[in-house]
Amino acid sequence: MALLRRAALGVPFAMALLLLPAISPAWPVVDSEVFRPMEAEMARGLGMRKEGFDPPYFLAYRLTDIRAMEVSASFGAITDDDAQESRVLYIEVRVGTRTLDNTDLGFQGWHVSAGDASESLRTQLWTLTDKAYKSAVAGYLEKKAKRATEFIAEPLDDFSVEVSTVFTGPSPRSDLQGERGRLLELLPRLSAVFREYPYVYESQATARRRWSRRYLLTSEGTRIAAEGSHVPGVLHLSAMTRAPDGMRLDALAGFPYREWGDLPSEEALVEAVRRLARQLDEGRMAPVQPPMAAPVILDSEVTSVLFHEALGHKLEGQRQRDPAHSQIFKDLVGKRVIPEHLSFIDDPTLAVFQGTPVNGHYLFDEEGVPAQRVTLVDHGILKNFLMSRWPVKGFPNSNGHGRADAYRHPTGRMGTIIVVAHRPVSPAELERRLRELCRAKGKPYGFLLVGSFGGENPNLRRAAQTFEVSPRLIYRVDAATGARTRVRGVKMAGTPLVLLDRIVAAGDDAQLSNEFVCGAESGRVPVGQIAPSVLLSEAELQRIPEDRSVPPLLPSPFLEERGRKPDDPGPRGER
Amino acid sequence: MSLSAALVVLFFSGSFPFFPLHASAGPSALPQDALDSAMSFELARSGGLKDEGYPPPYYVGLAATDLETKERVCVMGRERYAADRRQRILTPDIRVGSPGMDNHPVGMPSDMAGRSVPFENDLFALRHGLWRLMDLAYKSASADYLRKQALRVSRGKAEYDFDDFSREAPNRSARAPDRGGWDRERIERLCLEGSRAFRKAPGLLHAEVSTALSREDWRVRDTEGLSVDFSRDIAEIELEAVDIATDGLKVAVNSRFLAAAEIGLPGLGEVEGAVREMMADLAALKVAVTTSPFDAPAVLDPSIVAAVVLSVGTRLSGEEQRNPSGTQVFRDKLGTPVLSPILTLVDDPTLVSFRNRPLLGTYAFDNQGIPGQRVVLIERGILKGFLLSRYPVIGFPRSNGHGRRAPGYLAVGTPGNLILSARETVSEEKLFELLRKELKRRDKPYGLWVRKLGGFSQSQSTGRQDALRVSARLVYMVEAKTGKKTLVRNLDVVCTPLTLMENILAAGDRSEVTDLVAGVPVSVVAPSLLVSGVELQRSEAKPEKAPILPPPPAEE
Repeated sequence: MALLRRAALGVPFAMALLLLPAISPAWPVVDSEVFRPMEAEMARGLGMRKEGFDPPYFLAYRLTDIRAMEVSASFGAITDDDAQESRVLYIEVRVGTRTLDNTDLGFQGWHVSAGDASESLRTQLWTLTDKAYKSAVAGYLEKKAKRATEFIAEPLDDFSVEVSTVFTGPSPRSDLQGERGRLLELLPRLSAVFREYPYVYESQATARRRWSRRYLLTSEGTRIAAEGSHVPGVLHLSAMTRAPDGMRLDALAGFPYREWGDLPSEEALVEAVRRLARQLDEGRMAPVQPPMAAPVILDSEVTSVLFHEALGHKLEGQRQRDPAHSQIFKDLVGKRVIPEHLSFIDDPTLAVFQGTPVNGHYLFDEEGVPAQRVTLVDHGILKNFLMSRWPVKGFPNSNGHGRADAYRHPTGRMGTIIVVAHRPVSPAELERRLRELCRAKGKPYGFLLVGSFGGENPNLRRAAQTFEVSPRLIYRVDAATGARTRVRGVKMAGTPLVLLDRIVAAGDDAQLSNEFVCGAESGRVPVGQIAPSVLLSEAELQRIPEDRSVPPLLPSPFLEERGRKPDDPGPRGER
Repeated sequence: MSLSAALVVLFFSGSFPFFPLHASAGPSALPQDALDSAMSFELARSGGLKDEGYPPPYYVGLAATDLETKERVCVMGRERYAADRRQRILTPDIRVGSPGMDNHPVGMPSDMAGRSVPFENDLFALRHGLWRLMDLAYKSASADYLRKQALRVSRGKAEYDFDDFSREAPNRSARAPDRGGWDRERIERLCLEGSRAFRKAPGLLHAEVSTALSREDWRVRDTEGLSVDFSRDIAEIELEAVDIATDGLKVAVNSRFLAAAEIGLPGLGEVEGAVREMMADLAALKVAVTTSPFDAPAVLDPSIVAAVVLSVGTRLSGEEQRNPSGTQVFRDKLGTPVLSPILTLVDDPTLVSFRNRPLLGTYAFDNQGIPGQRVVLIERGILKGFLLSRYPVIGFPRSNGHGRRAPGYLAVGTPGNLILSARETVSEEKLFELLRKELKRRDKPYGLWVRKLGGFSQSQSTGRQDALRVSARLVYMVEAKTGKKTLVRNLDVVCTPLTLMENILAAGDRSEVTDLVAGVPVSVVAPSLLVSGVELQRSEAKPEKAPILPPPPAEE
């Protein structure tokens, strides 16, 4: 199951923690100290063989050096102040031939937390290469064993031939201490603003910062030292409350940044806090929407999640190889798969959109292949897949979309998706058509979905091919008057082909949604998503899972702080 | 990838849950007074079930089910499996608290509540079994009640929460268990001879016929004076065959006969006919094309419509409206349109037959001893009612006799005979005309014709998307231009229920009966439907190499 989530709060770092003073502001690693032991062990590794078996035909070493920190505050006080440095070594060994080797779609190499001294790194490279080779030989035999019963209708190569790359990018500049100091002041001030809203039960202002450098060395001659694929920094504001009936309501805003100066001004951030609080207040007073099928407008963010789930994941190249996957689009190259007024592109080379640095941007993928702009669907016609070095019928080469986190084997993934509308209309026109559709179908109202917490989508045939998108704000739009009413309690669900087919118009308001992290078999990777708002002739809204809890018995202590008596319900009965 | 626990899989896995206690079969003609006595003794004693500091029961119900099952599996005209099983299951329903709030599970009861006891009539052995059973049931009822109170403290009362137990008049109906009526040898002959018919296709990878005759004698008693006896029999004959296409994908077909009485059994000619049809369908499927999935308007035959109707039926159970982890798709929709206005859906357990064909979901009393009643669920598209056990729903304080479940489980609002009828119908021919018209209107090259239900599964929890997936034996692409039908294979049909139900364009004029098992036997009477959109999905199939040698030569 592939998951798309907003870069979630509260996900613990999975790496070892070090004390702050150990981290120095300048990037401490010299490239040659990483590559020297790698080159030495790679030369030895290529000659290793178990009797009766061939030596590896391919070796790759990938090392990711990470410096990261996280600072959180809640209602005015720091709740978290962590920093860490870690180093992850990942090794891939292939035996056999490109036509048939030890890998299959579940393949993973070996990884460890590596030491930073050159000698210890060399020892780890030696032992891990040994392990990886032995398991590659075992994997090769296991694969041959499976083929004794499995029928392979379309034999495909296991590894594409690519040109090797040598590249050295600049080292990251990490001003960790300086930035930490600024966050320790800013975040309590921002989070304290939530105290003015007694109905906010939980809230946080959190910043995550990550600098990393990735080293890739392959036996084919690729040698890359460059920034790792990640979102450098993101400031999150989040809050939750419960409606009078106990339903949980969340609000979330994120501000990705590369340099401190990318962040909005403090005034703008305070306004964002207030906006979240207002959204929660509006939400808890909103009526519960029963399940319904109706015409729906998706704003640009929801549209981008729809395309991510219903189309993007299903165009990942490797999924076309495995009959366990849904393979909806496998044989449809050259055929119409979405309405012809739309195109779908993935462009990891796009660095900046409307002045904002795009988080799905990278120069080389995790296999060292240069990033490429790929038109996946052109005017409705399927043209291409998201290719890693797993070949697919008719697509023998990578197009620079082999992505992974530091621990996993790369597979074809999205970078920055772009939904292009060829006959765009204004948002006002979209809404006019929504109401027209409602009237034609005899529906009293349609819906407007704004913003998304993420989506979810099964990729295996075993599961029914339905997917869902959880909107942040849902408005009911009256067909007769156009009046908007905020409602709550539903999500959008559907089957992918039907939903995409029902996009009857798209807006001229393309925007970048920049704070999503995509999770799939090869780990969590940041993605950029550019899309306009769209009108669906019909979509099904289903109830969200019930998470009901009695609201607090006593009112918020901050009521007293504001000089009100505890039994004063405050404006609109807030408690 | 985790599958939700609430995923209801009904892939025609009809066999009733059996306790791990097996015994050889024998006719049981003895009067079962010892069981009656044991039940009434222990029910009378249940008033004393009270632990210090815990509330006593306010109601105790007890259901005894005598079960007898005879199973055969035959391959190529020979038996490969035979089992005769007999057991007796006692299921207590002990309530503590009050009818306003008691220990009934929040939402859908799903745990096994029954236990097997000796099926021989020895008063002490039975009372001993009952004594232990009731003691354990009381203790867990007390614990469940406290946990439910605890949940109420943190979760609060939902707007749809309501009483937990409806007040009903104690019915009395005695009926001596009917031990005759079935020609067991005839069922065995159908198994043997039916499977022999597959010898004409020796190249099949797999072909077998299984038969099962299950008989249940129920006695329902409670502390309010209810005493109801009834029987529930079901015979099933299932045929399955598997072949392999040239691309290594297996093609499988199945066929099934269900009967609640001897008279409903098929003749040998009918079974052999089904085998011939399966072989012909397999031969066609083996050379049929595969296609990439697409979405399109579709004509669904009555058996496919039956799967959709049953999935609507299970969502209309009273428990489902109050199930916090269910989809609650119909909650708050009473009196509003939920289906095309040409359609009406009724559940009628009192209906014995449809066009002379006996129905399977017919019963006089449900598992809680309440008489089965005809219920209008959806009238001209408007939601009117629910399938109710004694677990009421706001606005519906009484059971309507649909508390059904397999032996050992607590009753849940469950369909009996679901009847979908259409106010306006068109001929089959016209249905396809309308399909092509719809295709042209939407500029689609192909539509679908989905026939002969193979199985279906649905997810019915809010943790997942609410979806229905149907495996049909025959799926045809219907060309918009010419109307030409092309058989395709290894594709399932998926849809989301609301969208499907609201987008029914036309109904056929010939209704048919489809028998299904959803824990208990259910019949669905439905016409063909033209729907505006379903989506195809590749079925789960892993290519395999075909057999290396040809099949052995047939002797006949």
